Amino acid sequence: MSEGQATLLLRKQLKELMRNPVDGFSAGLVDDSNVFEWAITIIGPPDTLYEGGFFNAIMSFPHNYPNNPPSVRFTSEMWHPNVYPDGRVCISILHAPGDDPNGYELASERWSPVHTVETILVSIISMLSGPNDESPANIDAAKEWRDSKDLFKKKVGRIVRKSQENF
Amino acid sequence: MAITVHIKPSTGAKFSVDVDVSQTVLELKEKLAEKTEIPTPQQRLIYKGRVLKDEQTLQGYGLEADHTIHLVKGGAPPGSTPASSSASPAAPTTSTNPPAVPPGLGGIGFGGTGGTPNLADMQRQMTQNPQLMQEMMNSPAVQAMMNNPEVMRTIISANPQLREVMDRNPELNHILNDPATMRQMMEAARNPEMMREMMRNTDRAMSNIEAHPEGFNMLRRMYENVQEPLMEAATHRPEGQADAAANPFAALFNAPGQQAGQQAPAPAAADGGAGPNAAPLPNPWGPPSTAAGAGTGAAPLPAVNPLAGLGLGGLGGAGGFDGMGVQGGGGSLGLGMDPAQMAQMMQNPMMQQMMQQVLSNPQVIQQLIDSNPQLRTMVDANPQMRTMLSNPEFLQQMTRPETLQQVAQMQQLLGGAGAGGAGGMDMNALLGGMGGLGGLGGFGAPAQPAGPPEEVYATQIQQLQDMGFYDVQENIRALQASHGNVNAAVERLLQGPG
Repeated sequence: MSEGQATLLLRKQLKELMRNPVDGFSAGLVDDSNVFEWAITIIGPPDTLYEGGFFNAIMSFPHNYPNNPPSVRFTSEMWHPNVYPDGRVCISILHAPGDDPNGYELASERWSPVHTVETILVSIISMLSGPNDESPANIDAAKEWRDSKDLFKKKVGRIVRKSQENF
Repeated sequence: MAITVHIKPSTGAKFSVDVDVSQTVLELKEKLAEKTEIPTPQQRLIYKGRVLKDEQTLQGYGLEADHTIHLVKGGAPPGSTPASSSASPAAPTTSTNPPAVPPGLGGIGFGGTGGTPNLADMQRQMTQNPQLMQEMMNSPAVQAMMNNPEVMRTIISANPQLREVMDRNPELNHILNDPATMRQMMEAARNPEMMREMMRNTDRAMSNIEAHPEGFNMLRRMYENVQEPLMEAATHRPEGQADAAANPFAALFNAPGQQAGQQAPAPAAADGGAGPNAAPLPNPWGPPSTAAGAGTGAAPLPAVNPLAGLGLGGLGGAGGFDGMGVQGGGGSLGLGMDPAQMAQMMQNPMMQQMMQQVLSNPQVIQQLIDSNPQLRTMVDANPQMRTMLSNPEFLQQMTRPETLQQVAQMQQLLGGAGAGGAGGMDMNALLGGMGGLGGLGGFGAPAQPAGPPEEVYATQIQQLQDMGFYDVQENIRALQASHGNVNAAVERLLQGPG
């Protein structure tokens, strides 16, 4: 029953995004028969280091969506303090609801069923424009971001170029 | 099946187009190019979380009526920012049309090589003079080429010999085809700082390799496997093809023939005479090129630049092993020029031809002298020199390679004293050579090592004696101090013993 609700909700969002897409990303299904796996292309936000890049990601929804958050994982190479080396995106709104066991995040910053694909991706785009090095997922990237910006810029430049060559 | 879809550009308002789903993405892009004025190679279409590939059909992506496709412009026109120049190489790969080589490129290019007889030397010269390098790299023709690796690749693959080498050596092929490598090479070539850094890195890597047992052998093998075939291919002239253009690289590396000489003025014209290329140089040859009837003299010079740049860009990757390794942290800005380089330059038939043209025309010489304050002072101080310089026969003699070589060596001894100011290496040295020539012919040059001073300065001593300076030893001292200039010697003598 709850799965039916998730399917319904996701289909509705997909349809809406097809008609009225949001600036900065494009979304579709990896496989048209599975509404829980979305293919996302995030367009590197202008005036950021990621400008000009096209970053692919997979968004996987749990079957009890929207009670639990989806996970987002970059399939394109990514270099960012808030993205794990394996591509998983670490932002607070994607963390399961409730209080943070580590006390970093307020419950209000975490997942809530009101979030949609659109709000999640807008958060990711804003994450690209302004990394949060408070609770980094990629410690090396965070260190570089903080201490040697030039190196960080160079690496990001490289992944942007790579992302352009992948199609 | 025709459907209506919406296009959402990253800038500007959404609009609708009618498409047939059996069309390819490229066909859609062509349609969009008319509406948005974004050329197809720069268009990125994104739909359902995917970047659409040109050769796929719209149906393949499951495009449905009333859906919206993102349109993003992939990078500004090439050359402005690193981001955009990095974006451009992706573009040509999606284009179905073969990239257009700028018209006349083949001509310039490869025909009119000026400078040097071989690649290694060319590289050495280039690396020793970052400024010249930069100027070359900034010249519009080279830049246009540099910004489009596809052109480079076309040039390379249009040459059967080179292509063969690349086929035989896949690694090499990879280097020359890899946009990232090409880009890096070009960036490095344009930026002296980076060039030096790259060389330092290479140097360090080289010394590491050499320190490693067997490392040196490996290096040698690498040289044999990569550089040799490349050079061989490049300098090998295809049988039965008399036309030098058939193997542009041959022309590039060998001293250019008659044909090359004729083609040379073309790039100069394309660059607008002494255009952006020559303009920044304090170029004493400049004025003649603008003066009517003297154009031939100056024309070949700008031609040197695009070519040399080209050689480096095209082959730097592979040919670079030699030059870079040897150079190490080099890059001296020194004005003094290696006599060997100078001599080589002078021995180049093209250069000789040019010199001859220039020197056989007294007007050109006159302009040359007038346009260079130092030279003018020198000539004014020595009326004989003017006579000498306006004597075509003498000038002809001067252009003999042997003479020039001597002068070049002398020039080296003088530490490039002839001409001041930081400028084009060639020009300064050449000018210095001219100055030196004057001195040589006339009064004995400062560094002239010839026999006893009584003999060397015989005429001047006679003159001084006629003027009433009877002390031969004193006269010789004064003449030596003034490098044989009678006027200066007289002044010195009149000032009394110092």
